[in-house]
Amino acid sequence: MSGDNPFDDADGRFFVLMNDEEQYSLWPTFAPVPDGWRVVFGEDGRQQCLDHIEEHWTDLRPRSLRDAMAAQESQGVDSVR
Amino acid sequence: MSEGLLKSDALPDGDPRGAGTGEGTGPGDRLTEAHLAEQHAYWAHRLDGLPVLRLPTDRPRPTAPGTARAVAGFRVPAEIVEQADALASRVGGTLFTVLLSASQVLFSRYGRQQDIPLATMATGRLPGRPDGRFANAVVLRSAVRADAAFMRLAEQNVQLVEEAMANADLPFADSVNTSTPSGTDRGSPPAPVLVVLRDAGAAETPQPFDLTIDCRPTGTGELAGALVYDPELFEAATVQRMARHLTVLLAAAVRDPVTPVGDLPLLGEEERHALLGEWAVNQVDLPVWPCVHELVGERARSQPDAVAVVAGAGSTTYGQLDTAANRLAHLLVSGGTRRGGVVAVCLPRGPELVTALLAVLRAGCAYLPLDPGYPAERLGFMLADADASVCVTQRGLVGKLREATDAGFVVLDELERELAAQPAVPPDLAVSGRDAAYVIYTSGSTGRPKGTVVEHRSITRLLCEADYIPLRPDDVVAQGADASFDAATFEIWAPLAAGARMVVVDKDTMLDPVALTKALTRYRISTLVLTTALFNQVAAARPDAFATLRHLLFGGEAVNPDRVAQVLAAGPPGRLIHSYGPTETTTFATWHLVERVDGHRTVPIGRPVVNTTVHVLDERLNPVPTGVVGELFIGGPGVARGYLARPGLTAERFLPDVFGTGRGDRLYRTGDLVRWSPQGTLEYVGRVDRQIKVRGFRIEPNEIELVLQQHPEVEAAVVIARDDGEHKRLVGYVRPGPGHRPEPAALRDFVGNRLPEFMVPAAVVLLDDFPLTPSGKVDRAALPAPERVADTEDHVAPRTDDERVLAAIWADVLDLDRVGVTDNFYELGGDSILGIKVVAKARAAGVPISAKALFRLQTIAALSDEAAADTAPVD
Repeated sequence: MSGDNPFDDADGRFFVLMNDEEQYSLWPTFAPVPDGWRVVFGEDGRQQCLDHIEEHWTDLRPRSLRDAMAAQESQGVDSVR
Repeated sequence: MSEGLLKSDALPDGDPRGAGTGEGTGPGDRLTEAHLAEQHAYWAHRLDGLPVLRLPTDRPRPTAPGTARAVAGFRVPAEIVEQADALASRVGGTLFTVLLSASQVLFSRYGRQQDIPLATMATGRLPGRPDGRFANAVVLRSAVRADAAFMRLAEQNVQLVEEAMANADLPFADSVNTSTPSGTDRGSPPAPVLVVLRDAGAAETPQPFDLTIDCRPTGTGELAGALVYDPELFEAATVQRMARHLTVLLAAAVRDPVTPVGDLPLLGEEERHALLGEWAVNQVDLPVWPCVHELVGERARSQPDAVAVVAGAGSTTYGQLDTAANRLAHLLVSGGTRRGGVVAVCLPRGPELVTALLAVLRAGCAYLPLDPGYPAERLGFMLADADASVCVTQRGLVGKLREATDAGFVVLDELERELAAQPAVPPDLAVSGRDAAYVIYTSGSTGRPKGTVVEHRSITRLLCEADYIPLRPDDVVAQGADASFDAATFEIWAPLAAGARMVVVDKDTMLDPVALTKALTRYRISTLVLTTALFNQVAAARPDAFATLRHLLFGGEAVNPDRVAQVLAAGPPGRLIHSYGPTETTTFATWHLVERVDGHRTVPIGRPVVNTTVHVLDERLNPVPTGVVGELFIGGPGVARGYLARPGLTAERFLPDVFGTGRGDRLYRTGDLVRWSPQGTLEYVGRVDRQIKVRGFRIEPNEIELVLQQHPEVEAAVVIARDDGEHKRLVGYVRPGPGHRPEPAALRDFVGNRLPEFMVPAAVVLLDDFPLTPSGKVDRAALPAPERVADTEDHVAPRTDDERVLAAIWADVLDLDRVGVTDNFYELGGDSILGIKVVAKARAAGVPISAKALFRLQTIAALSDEAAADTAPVD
């Protein structure tokens, strides 16, 4: 289809989604929220959503790894696989 | 003229023109000149700037249109027809309106086009004869917006159809000539698809169209449909798919008419299964995702004396490599690195580099490979951006690095005693498949490079069960890529995980086809990875250079099928593999075993490599059908963690996997345009961000470049859109083959015979060499503007008044001092938009020429010759 890609639309409306690994994604509101993801911010403008992500996603490690490393540090044992 | 061709259904009840029997007798029935002039004005307005419908043809259009027609039948079940009728009543239209709307959506999805012209049959009145009727085709042109509900489109079409029927007295050819179709394909009608809904007994429609969607009701309430097509343009299978898409779409649209038309399904069960399953998913479950260094460690334990790395005359065994890496890992850990940290490695390619990379992984860190040849400023940016705490390097490079960073250094050749004192066993550290293994920087669209963070499992997914290159311990893999490119990921870790041998091939050798060929035999190299650019270079110089190889893998840029054919003919390697993969999904995403080259098509990038998933999606993330261009999305464990310290960018490019199992997996959005071939292999089309919009058409310059490169006298081609103040036009740059000097006009013709007119460059410029960026890519911004001067030596002054008028108009429109009658409009910088201006001004000045004639004839002399021939008395 012609027209600008709704995923890149600077004037579009977006959600900020998060999965169980606490990874973020920018998601246009017209599309249904996929299974395994939840809305953590929005709907709002694209820039507002990106600002939210920049502010809150400060550690890009997946949660499972973060948890495992934290457990290892507190217990000093190998626990991740 | 024949009668009864009209789908009476398309007309409002009681309309005298609706009977289609030639017996209308209404008072408004007398056709006058005034009526015709009104209709002329209607069509001129309605069809202004009429675009060409982009059809998913399988073959280029032949110069002379074919007259043969073939048929693919389909049926619309009674239940769907009933629902379609109900929807038609709701919007105040007819079954035809619904069928038309569905057809418009279909072609809008195929061509990624919003402005859709389709034709249908109507009954026209003949002037001066109250009862005179003729079957006339009319163009129905609609704007199809992806986010509009199907019902809205149908509503909009009700009025459109009524108007078209009321203005059906102007013969088709006149109505489309009223406007100046922009971008008219050579020889193709402006609306190449006819949609008709006939009465049950009505005769068949004449077929000057590329494709006719011909439906008629049956006694059982079904619709019997036929897709009548030109077999010179389409394969039977393509049209059969089209028929399925139309029926699936129509059924969904009438069932749920509020669905945005961009979300209506097209795929039948079988195609959906192939596109989303069989072709798309290549999953081999592993019980665990091992770490890269564990795979190498296993080999070191089982074959410590086997040679792992060969560089020049020296070699390193698995045992030596393992021990050295363990010692360095201990040194790093005792120096304060922590699990999850980033350690830069700046070393020339060789055993020390491999040792250092392995050591960083053993220390639980991610390596940041730094090319010693990079400018200090760039190195400094990467070291700071990645927050590298320490940099492993050698004495000779410390000076340069000190300029770049205040990170600590581990200078290998100054620490030999300290290293020797470290334990030879691995440090006792937990590292998982989800830990980061490396950070590789690529250039960003904003000019700021971005670091992709790749986890262990992304690499090991490439190494375990590797279907694209099943390495054995007796393989010898060339290591020719710098570690800062992710091809090195394969070249280094694949042989070491397989217990095979890696041979370091220096840059000078890689760039010299003769030296490279010698190195291949001298080191008995079995496996080689080349960029497409290098592959082309070697193939041109020594097409048989690869005959001794077991596996040759190439990729990374648009492929030149001629070079591939040369290699296949001269002595191919055991397996020639064309591959594709962005850094963000770890080295390789797809692969294709090249066994032959088909002249019409590009060399595919194939199907996903092991533990990789691919999807070709439109802008609303719906899967596109076979043959339709879409953006490539990649999933599976190869998907990187994201861009280091760039959360916003990561969230934009790594999206929820809408086809996943609901576990929150992500897909990487590549920005690459591809399509599925009917054989189920992906074909690379171009970059989304190189996509150009010229006159509303989306153009992938790469498609045009590929065609230019098929010309026997062309070595390489680049196509860009130049913005010359008022409007954009396509300019092709061509590097001719040795000893050749092709005519720009001949090259334009060559493209014009294979692609629609809107894809033909307005000018072609020959260059001996393309300007290059520092990284060795074509510097598009530095390409020279084509000269727009009429040839003064061959100037032929206008000879008649008409020629003088035209020459003055051309000079005005093209902004030139003077124009000769043999000067070529397009070579002077003309294009279709400027052509429209010329046509309008010429008409106003009383010298009528058509845009088509201008496109075909291109010089004033040829135009006036043809005009003379047309007006010459016939004997």
